[in-house]
Amino acid sequence: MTTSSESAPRSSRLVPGLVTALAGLWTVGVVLAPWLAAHDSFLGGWLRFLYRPGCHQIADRCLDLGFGPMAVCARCAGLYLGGTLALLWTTARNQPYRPHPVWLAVVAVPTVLDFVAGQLGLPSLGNWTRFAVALPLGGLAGFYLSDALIEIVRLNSGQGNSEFHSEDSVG
Amino acid sequence: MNQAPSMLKPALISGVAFGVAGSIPVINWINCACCALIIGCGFLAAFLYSKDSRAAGFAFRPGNGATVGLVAGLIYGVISGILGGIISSALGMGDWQEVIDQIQMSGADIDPEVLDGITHFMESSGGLMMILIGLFFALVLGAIFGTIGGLIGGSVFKVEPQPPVHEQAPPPPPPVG
Repeated sequence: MTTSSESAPRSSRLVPGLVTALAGLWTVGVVLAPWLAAHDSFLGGWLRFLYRPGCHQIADRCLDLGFGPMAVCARCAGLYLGGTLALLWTTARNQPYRPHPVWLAVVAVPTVLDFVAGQLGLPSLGNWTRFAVALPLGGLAGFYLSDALIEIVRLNSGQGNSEFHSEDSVG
Repeated sequence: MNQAPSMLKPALISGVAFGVAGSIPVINWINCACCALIIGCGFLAAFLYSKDSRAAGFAFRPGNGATVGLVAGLIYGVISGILGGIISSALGMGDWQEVIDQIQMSGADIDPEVLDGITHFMESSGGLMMILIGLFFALVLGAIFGTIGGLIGGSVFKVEPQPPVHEQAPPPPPPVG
């Protein structure tokens, strides 16, 4: 795993910060939709519909915190939360963090196997386990995303590329 | 001097391959996992472009990944939107009533009169309107998630620029005499 040797300039925080805020809102909406619906707000249904293109929303496969199934399934909730936490961590530290790509394959395997098992009708993981398994995959995606964003901002602000280079490169 | 590799080839390969996969009814369920097919489309395009860049001796940066991912995502949108619409129409799936059922299942509240009006319009326009709506959403989702996939790929497959080679002055000739 690799981190850059120096912090990114303060100005480079803006874009990852905005993306983190959007990701946070998106993740909060997952819990907010059933909460609003439980409190008889018409917004709950629309908010749930917003998540429809990216998730099957089968109620049995969604986590329930006590006011109805969340707006996305446990796997998607884990991916969203993991990604948001990684973005938040990187933005707070103001330092890009780029894990070795092999970790992407390692953390993707359980989620892919569970997905395939589900599609084949084989017994698959429980909701909380599925959530926990997806969490690191989302986190890793979040780390790569924030690394990419910070580098784009840095290059567009006219800074050199020597101070942020990662030691990892895929051969 | 080498020329930078074209983005179109990796974007086309990835966009067409994933677009066809995304229009096949059972395979497109993969998109139920956070639009994984579209993210994969951008990711593959970034991988292919990073390979081309490395071979040509050019740097491959997350910005390149985002761009090639965006183009691949748009190609995905066009292919899966049109092909998926045709396949759905041919198989008798994806009619407007299904969309209304989905809206009602999600609990969204719509005025029945408005819904009737839209339903009448959709039925009078035939399958074309459904294909156009599907194409629009496929393009929007393709652009967003293709770019995300390309950004992730851009970070994973980053290729640093080669340091400039400074020409060294030839060593002085040995003293004579």
